[in-house]
This record gives sequence, C-alpha cells and structure tokens, in this order.
Amino acid sequence: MPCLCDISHTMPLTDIRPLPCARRRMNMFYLIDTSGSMNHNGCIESVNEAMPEIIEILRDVTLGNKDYGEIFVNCIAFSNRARLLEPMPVSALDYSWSNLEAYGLTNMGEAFDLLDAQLRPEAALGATAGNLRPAVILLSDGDPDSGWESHLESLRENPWFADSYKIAIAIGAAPDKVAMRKAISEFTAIGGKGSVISVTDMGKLTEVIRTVSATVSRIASRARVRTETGTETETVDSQIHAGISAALEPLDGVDISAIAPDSPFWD
Amino acid sequence: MPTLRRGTRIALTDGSTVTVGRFLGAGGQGEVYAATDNDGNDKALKWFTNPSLLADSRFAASMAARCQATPPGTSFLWPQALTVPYGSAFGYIMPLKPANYIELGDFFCIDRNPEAYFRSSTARLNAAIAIADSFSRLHLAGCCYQDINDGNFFADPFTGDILICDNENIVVNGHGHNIAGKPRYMAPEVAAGARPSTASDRLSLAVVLYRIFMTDHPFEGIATASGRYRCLSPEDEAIAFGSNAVFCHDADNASNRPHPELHPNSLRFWPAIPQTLKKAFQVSLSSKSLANPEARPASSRWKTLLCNLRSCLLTCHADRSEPVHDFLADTTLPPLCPRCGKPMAPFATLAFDIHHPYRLSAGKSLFLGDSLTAEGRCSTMNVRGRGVVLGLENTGTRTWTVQMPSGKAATASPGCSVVFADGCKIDFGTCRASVIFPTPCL
Repeated sequence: MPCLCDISHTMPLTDIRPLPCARRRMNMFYLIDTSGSMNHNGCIESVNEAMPEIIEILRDVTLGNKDYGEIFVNCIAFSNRARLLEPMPVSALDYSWSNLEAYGLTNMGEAFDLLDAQLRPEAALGATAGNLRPAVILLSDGDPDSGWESHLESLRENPWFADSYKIAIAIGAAPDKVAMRKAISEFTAIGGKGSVISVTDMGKLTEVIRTVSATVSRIASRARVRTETGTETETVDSQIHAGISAALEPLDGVDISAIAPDSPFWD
Repeated sequence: MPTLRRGTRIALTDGSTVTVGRFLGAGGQGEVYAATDNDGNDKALKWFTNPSLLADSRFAASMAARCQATPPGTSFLWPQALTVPYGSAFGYIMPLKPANYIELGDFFCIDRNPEAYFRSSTARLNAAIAIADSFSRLHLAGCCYQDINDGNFFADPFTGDILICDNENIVVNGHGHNIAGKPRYMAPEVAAGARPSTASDRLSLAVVLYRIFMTDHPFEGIATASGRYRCLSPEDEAIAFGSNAVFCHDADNASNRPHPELHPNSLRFWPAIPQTLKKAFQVSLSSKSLANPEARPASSRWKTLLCNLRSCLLTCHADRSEPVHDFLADTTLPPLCPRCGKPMAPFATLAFDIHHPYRLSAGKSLFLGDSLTAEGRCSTMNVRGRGVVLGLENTGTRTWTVQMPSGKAATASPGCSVVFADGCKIDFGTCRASVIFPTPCL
C-alpha cells in the first residue's frame, strides 16, 4: 500500500473562488445614413424601431457566448457631418439606443474616417484579451456627397477594416444612384468578403436590419459547422452570407448577392 | 429571434404532438424550447435551424437512428422522438433539464452567473468523473461525440451531477460528416479538416476536464493574448488552438504560460491540484498529444485516474463550519488540513483486494472501484467504551460480511453500519477490503 504521508498541498480548490475568464471582444459598427432622404417612406423610423430590438439580440448572443466573444457596439450616424454615438464601442450588455433624426446631406466620407479611427488598437481594438474580427454594417439610401472616394481609400489601408465582416444595406438603390452603388460596392468588396442587400420595399427594412445583425453577431462571435462535403469547412463569411440569404430571400422587395466589383447584381 | 411561436403544436413521427413552450436558447445548430407532450409532461424541443444541417439528408436519417438507440449512460439527455418537418425545419424532443443544473459555460463566467461554481472538491471531482465515465461508455460503444465543448454539459454545482445535451452529434466513430466542432475545443486535425473521431473527442475531453478543475482554458496564455493576432480570425484560431496550440502548463514549453491578468485561474488553481492530475493534463494536452491523435489517453484512463483521486479525497471535520472542508490529494497527504490548518481528524483507509486504497472520513461516500453508485457513507458514531469513532453505513443493496480483528464475523445489511476497528475486514460482495484505522497522517 502506498505511503500516505510524504508531501503536502498548498490549499484546497474550494477555497479559491474562480474569477470570470477573459473574453475576446467583437466590435460591431453601424454606419447609418441620417440624411434628409431617410425621412421618406419611414426609413429612419424603421432604423429607430429596429435598433433597440437589435441591441437585445446582441445582448442575448453575448450572454450565450459565455467566456467567448463579447459584442461591443458603436454607431456612426452621417448626414452633413458624421458623428459617433458613443466615443468608444459599448458592451451590448450596457448599450442603450438613442433615436436618430434625419436631415441634411450624405457625408459618407467622414463616416469612413470615423470608422477608420475606431478600427485601431489604440481605440476600439485595444482589448487586452484580444479581438475577434469586427463587423461593419453600412446602411444608406442615397448617393454619398462627392469626395467619398479618397476617404474610402484611406479606410482601405486599414488592415482591421480589411479583416472585418462587411454588410451593406442599400435602400432604394435605383439605377440612377450611380455613386451610391459604386460606394457600397467598393466598400463591401475590400477584403473580398462583403455582402450587399438591396431593399426596395421599405416595409421590410426593420426585418432586414434585424436579420443581418442577428446573423452576423451570432455566427461571427461563435462556432462553425462542417459543410456536407465533409472535408471543406465553410468560411465564416460564407456562413454569414448563407444565413442572411436563407432568411431574406423569401421576402419580396429584398435582394441579396455576394458582392464583387463586376457583380451583375446591380443590373 | 426564436423561430417557433409559443403555443405552436408540432407533430412527432410517433404520431403524438408537443406544444412549444418558452425559448431556452440558441446555438450554432439550432434552438431549444421547453415543450409539453400530450400527457402534460415537460420536455425539451431541439429545433434545427442551421441551413447546412437541414440540407443534409444524412443528418435526418442519423437523427432518426439516434432516437431508436439506447443511451450509453444515464447522463445523456437522449433524443426521444423526431418531429415531423414543420416549415423547412425539424427537431427532436428529449428530457427537460432540471432547474438545478447549470450550463458548464456559466462556470467560466461567474460574473454573469454567481451561482455557477462548484461548492466542494467532491462536487468538482464528481463532475469530472461523470463526464469521463459518459465518454468512456460512448467510446467503448464505438461512437464519438464529435463536438465536446462547454455548451454540451450541465452540472449541479452542489453535487457535480452532469447532464449531456446535443446528442445528435453522436455518430459511429469516423462516420461524422456535418460537425466540425467549436473553436478552442476542436482537435488540431479537425480544425485542419479531418473528420472528428474518438481520438479528437479525447483531446476535447481533456480540455473540458482541465476547465472543470482550472476554469481558464488550457491553451490560453501569453502567446494567444492580445498583440500576437491582429483580430483572431477563424484561421488564426485554428492555428492558435490547433496546430500551434501550447498547453499553458506544458512541462517542456514555457512559451504560453498563463497571462497574470487574463488567466488568473490557471495560475491560482494549478498549485492546488494533486501531482497525478497535473501529470495527466501535461500528458493529455502536450504537443505530442496534440500532434498525434493515437497518443491521447483514452477516456477510460481519465475515469480510472479520477476515481483514484476520489479514493484519496478527504474531508476534515476539525473546523465545524460549513461547508465541510474537503480537498483533493494524491496518495500523499498533509498532516494539517490545508483549509483550516488544524490537525487532520482520524480517518480510515480501506485496503482493497482489487481496487485503489480508499480513504474514508466523516461525510464521505464509498464508491467501489469506478462505480458511480455509492455503496456506503462514512460518519462518526458514538460507541460505548470507545467514544466517538468512525463507521460506515451500508447505503447500497448488497449485504456486507464483516470479520472483526477478534475473528468474530457479522453481517451489515443495507441500512446497517460497521464500526471501524483496525484490522477488520469487509466483504462487499464484489470485492474485499481490510480496514486501517486510524490511518496515520504523520
């Protein structure tokens, strides 16, 4: 029989109350067009209606992630100028939505600048525990003010933006809105991973924003599932695209396509 | 947002129906709801929403077979009946988890669920044994779970009793096709595209067991902390927690030691566990184990090791405050209780013919070998002429035969107790033991 008497232990496990495990941060940015045209067809009301519910969804996803990704949210509203709704992203558990008003022009370029400044380790990406890939959701209903291209070029150089999941929701993207189509196409194509959703039935806008948010947050902050082929693992980007497509394709007045610079989607 | 409305009636393939109740949660594969069957019994309804799964005809066939199969152990919340497709989706019903069970993931975020911590070392050890036992049975049956992670388990924080959900993941070993697993729990070969197997289960099991004892993640350390990765993409993750994973307490590689701010549990709990457990983690989570699936210790070996630790666990009654001081130990033992610093109360050791020596102190249950059913419970007894001494109550179903040092024989039927005396022998029916009492501490 073994000797029972030789060494000692320092302390019992039950005397050490565990501390919460460190969580990686997943930042979600909403770039929301608050130009005057968003007053038409109840667009801004749809945004204001959707966002509190979306925050609830993000809260549920965060809580469901346990010690994994904690979702942080910030919103950049742009009209004559662009502004951050919070100086830094706020945990979905603590975020409270303030309704937006629509007026003025479409200074999308300045919104790109603010996003660029947030997507930096010294800003929103400074979590000690590290970050998951961020997500950026752009929502606009019209041509951006001239000069947006140079701002997007600056943003293009930001590697964290290239890493991000990008989804654009284009409201009423009629063929004559050439600049809007170009801006959204180029924005989502950076990094080659984005999706564009075109909404022509404004009654569906709330549901579209909600579905996009829920799908992106759930998939991007969690796990992956093997595809049927058995050897290929779906990318998270394709899972997000598939998830959004499955939910929105049945809706009339909503179209979704993987975006590419030469995509026939806009035709 | 829940897919199913409360009150919806869903038909089952056995001809009955269930009524959808409250939404309980959602994961990568689908949602879970409370439900009520035709007889008013509470059930849980798993509802698949993942398009990849729903598009996979083999998955539905596999689920149907799962409902017909016998669960490998009592901890599995086993699928009971498949639903008829409703809309474009389907699901299955299973027993509803009792409210006293908490998802294992909650034990890693005590800031959000302050109740989620094990109240005793006994409970913590019981949880580990129950999980090792369940997967040992599953693997012996030729199956693998594929997706062992912190979301699949529920634990009673007071007893360590375990329930295992998401059993649709179970397949015959090597025949999985639609599950990859959860990042940070997947074996490297699975992250690289291989099919999950019992061998990949073993690595995931070691990760879960480590977290039961340590709370933090075994592959999280200074090398996975901020600064090394711009944003941890799934590709980065497959490397950091797969092909490049380094155990934070690796015996030979110090490159990923716990970060003092980010992984305090890995730092604080490690000195408090027995050497045998440390060695088991250092083998199971080593670079050799990561790189070579065949080198991973089988779940049955975990069960044996943990049951041996159960044999060595002791309780101290020198301090009467609650909860009782219990602590894990190897075969070695400190002279003073590490919790209250008082001399250890006398305890008995059962020297078995076929099992690991088993320590008994007041309040501790007796399990024979690797059984999960207690056969006895040790307590203090007031005996005329001897004062307060330890004894063992027969809480099982077999009658024991006891031979006292004097040679006198007696029986202890269920409900009766044996008062310990040094040298007495107990025949438990399946094994025999000599009692060493009191066991010397010094």
